[in-house]
Amino acid sequence: MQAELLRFMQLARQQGVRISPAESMDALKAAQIAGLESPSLLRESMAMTLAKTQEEEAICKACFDQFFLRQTPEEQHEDAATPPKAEAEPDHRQELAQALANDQQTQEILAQSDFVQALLKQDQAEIDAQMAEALGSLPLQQLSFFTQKGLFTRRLLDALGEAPIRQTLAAMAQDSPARQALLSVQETMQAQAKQAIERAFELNAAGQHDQLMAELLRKTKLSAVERRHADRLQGLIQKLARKLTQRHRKRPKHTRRGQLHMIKTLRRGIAHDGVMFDTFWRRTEKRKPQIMAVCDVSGSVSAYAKFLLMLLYYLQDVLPRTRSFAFAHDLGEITTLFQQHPVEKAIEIANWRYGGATDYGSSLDKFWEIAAQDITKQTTIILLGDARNNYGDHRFERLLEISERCRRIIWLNPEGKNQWGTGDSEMLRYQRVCQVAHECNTLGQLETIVDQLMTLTR
Amino acid sequence: MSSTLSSIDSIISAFAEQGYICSEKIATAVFLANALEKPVLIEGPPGVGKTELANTMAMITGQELIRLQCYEGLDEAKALYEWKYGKQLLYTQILKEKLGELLEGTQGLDGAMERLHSLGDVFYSNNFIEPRPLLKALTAAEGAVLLIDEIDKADQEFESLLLEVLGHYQTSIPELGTIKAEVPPRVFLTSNNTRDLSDALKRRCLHLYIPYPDERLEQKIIASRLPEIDPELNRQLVSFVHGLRAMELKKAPAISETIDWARSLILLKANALDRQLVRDTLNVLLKFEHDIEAATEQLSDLLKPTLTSASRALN
Repeated sequence: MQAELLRFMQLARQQGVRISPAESMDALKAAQIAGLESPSLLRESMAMTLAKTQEEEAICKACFDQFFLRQTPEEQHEDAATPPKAEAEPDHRQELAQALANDQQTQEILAQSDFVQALLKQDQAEIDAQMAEALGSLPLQQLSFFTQKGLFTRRLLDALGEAPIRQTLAAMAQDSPARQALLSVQETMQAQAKQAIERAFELNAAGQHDQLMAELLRKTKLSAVERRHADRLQGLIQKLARKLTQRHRKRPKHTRRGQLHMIKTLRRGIAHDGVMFDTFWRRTEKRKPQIMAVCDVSGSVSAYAKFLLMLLYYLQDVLPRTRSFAFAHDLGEITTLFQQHPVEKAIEIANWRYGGATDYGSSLDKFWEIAAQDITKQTTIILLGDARNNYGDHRFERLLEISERCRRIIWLNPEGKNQWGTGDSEMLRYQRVCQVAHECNTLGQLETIVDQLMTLTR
Repeated sequence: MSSTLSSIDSIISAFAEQGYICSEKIATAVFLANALEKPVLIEGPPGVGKTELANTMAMITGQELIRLQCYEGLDEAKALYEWKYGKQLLYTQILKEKLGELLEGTQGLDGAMERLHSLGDVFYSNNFIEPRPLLKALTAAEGAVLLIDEIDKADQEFESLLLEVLGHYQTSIPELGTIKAEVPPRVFLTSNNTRDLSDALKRRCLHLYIPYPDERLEQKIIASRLPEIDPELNRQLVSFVHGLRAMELKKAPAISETIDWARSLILLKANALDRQLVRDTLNVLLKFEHDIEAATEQLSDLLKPTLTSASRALN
């Protein structure tokens, strides 16, 4: 049983649940206490000891169902539907057994394989046990591509003792009744083996597949991500935002002198007979960085804007002092919009309200008008956009003014560096006042940049 | 006491006696926590009875409930222990006065020092320690139920402080040495998931997620809290609240809000839900103006399933 449980944990690990040795020990202990009588109790116990988040709990439970109960949710319905068919079979089986028993040759061969014996006796428990044993002898961990299925099925059949049957079949006369019976035994075996390998493949490969997808998505250009992967990407972005804020929580900054720390002063004073010679000052003061993010939502960057807005949304969730703005022909603050609406809707509204042809000049003016009084030396301004101004007035001096007042400006441009300054792009001009200007069009890049950015804003 | 916690069924019935209707999942967590002597980390939306679980546990076991509310800036002086400075000061004063008596008959400085050493160091001793919740829970003679509420609000450094307590039920005080609990406290941590907790902390705990209950369970909870409620009204209001939870609200109503609402409906002597009644009392359920507006807009949709099934029941 212990080995089975460990294999189950291995499987859960592959599907993305982080399980340390200490946890597996806990889980084994829990299994001992919970006992094996009630599957649902064991299932809950495993989920509770192994999982650390709600998602992991769901994965654990799904794995458990797949592994121990051998079924996926869809299969459960099928199973419920099949029994009537199974009832009709025994007569047929009986005939088969009869036909096989009559022939001396086949009987000897069949006696060699425990699996076939169990199959003929209709002993489901024994069939399962034999199958599990045969599966155990295969290196199933290596089964990760669907092209390997054939090979593994073949190996499984060999382990079950199918080879002699095959040979006998080839040697037998065409019209012998035993041959027909043997053929149907072989077919059943093949079907069972195929099914078992199918299941093993699903168990094994699903987790690896997920990891591969996540890795690929991080490297794909955001504009090229297909619609059907958008959900997955949303999850990744949320994860990214959380990870970043966790890594960069508010840290106390050391200043030279703060408030008097009465307790410590008293304590030091004890040595001097209670006279407080030695004062102790609280030295920490929290620095509160503020971020203002301004995002271009015009047609030219619309594919990126969605993801950038998404990131802003989640960042605002975790960094409360973030203010967000969106612009194309006009600029407006979307902080409250983000606070009030769920992410999809908020992005839609922002796009609808401010989308259109880009005008960087007037947008900068408007930004100055709305936010200028709140920009301090603690403020970091992040600009997200391609700096394509449709040959309009660039109002560079306004950006200069902003840059003088704030701590720094960071520009993230979805276009490649070699395209900066071509055509109507004003990037090279704007770049001069930006402390950081980066090309940013995959999730991987975004992560590195935001990571740097958090270190800077600290 | 230990027998009540030794099987899932007896746990469920013991909790029900105290008015806490728990699902099998919660009972499993309590059962495992008791058997493995591990803390339980409870997550879930606000108001589903995370804190109440610890309260009820204390009632069942008859142990003292020690609660530690976490907040930003919580440190060991407030969570673990603190020295009684005033008393220590007094002690030095007294010591000074009595010094002459104590050192009577000693020869020279060396002799005086030797006498002083033989007196023992009382300055840093148990007498001068002011135990805070964590230390209290460790030293409680009968064992205790320790509730560490909203651990996600505390700083990350505080988590590290907890590790020793949660892992081995012991703590180290530099001046005194290691203090180990004789009866391990039953620890419950709650989190609203405003930030991710460290893996080290999660690893030491059993993980329990309490979701919003399904309709049947919630009806049972309300019936147990408010026995005088009309069953039909109970069914209607629970189904209405579930309709609300399916909407995208900023703050979905929790169990505690459903109970409050049921209580106010009883006070208003209502027998069944109707439009006007719901509109007037919606502010008990929803805490944001924006949510109330959204719900009022869809009021007829929300009420339809509850009312049609009611009329069907009448027919």
